[in-house]
Amino acid sequence: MHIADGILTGKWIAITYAITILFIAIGIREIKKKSQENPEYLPKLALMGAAVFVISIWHIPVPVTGSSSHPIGTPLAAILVGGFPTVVISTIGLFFHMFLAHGGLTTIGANTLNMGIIGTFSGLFIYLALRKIGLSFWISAGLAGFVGDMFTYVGTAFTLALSLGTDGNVMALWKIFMMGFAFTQIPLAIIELIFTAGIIHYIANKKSELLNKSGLGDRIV
Amino acid sequence: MIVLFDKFTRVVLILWITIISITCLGAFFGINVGDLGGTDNIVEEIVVEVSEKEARTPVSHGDRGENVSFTLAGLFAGIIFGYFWITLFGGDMFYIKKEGV
Repeated sequence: MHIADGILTGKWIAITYAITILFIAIGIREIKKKSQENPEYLPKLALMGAAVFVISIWHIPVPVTGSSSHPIGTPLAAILVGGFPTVVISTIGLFFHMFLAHGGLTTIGANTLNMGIIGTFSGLFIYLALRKIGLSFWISAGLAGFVGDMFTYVGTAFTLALSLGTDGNVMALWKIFMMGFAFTQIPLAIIELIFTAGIIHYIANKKSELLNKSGLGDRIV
Repeated sequence: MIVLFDKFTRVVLILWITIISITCLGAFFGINVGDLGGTDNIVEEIVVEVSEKEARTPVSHGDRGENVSFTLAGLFAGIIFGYFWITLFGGDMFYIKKEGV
């Protein structure tokens, strides 16, 4: 999902940067508030930041499709540290991905929009909705991981289509770009489902207070 | 029965071995099965086909870009570290108390 420099038009660079900056501002305010309420919050956030950085650049080959891709890790982070703070750590992670030739300076806004905002909040929405109807931690978290992962790539294909398309062909372009991602991403979304479910299940069993102090858990547990 | 590790260490070791195994498996496929390029590259090729735009190497990744990026990263890391300095180490870190004062 790392869109490289040189692909997006100036208009879409500006739009994606503007949306991302808005979410980052809310995220920083939330981080400040939560870290004042709970001194353990900042170290946990830093740890999740490192996890998102590693997970979202960890290329896993899918021999059946002849290509490789990576999971995103933001649904897991959102469950543990909250949605808006996850946007902030995603942006930092994506900034450092640039040093590994992934993404680019002009596309940090778009990449954060797709991985940090769409991936995070779609996953979080699924998690909260499934928890509300009484499903277990691991099913809710696993499906959040799957949906967040897939929606990141749906969003990336849509960003590319909006930027490169003309009035009539945006949806046609979206389908073309989505075909480039989908076949490789589905197995990886299943991997994301497994590890998100496993980690949240483990934490819920062994250290449930981590979920209670996440800023989300206190509303849903 | 001799227990080598406590339960937490066992879980962490299993996770670590799993992650390393997946990485090694990935490297094996990458070397032996053929070029398993990332989906980003595939989509970048589609972009070239459907538009006149071409992906560029990130500005941070050229010879000069790397220097600038690491300098900027160091600058911001220093600012953040400096901002939290007193919280981390207290205010009298460099204060040398003179005898009799």
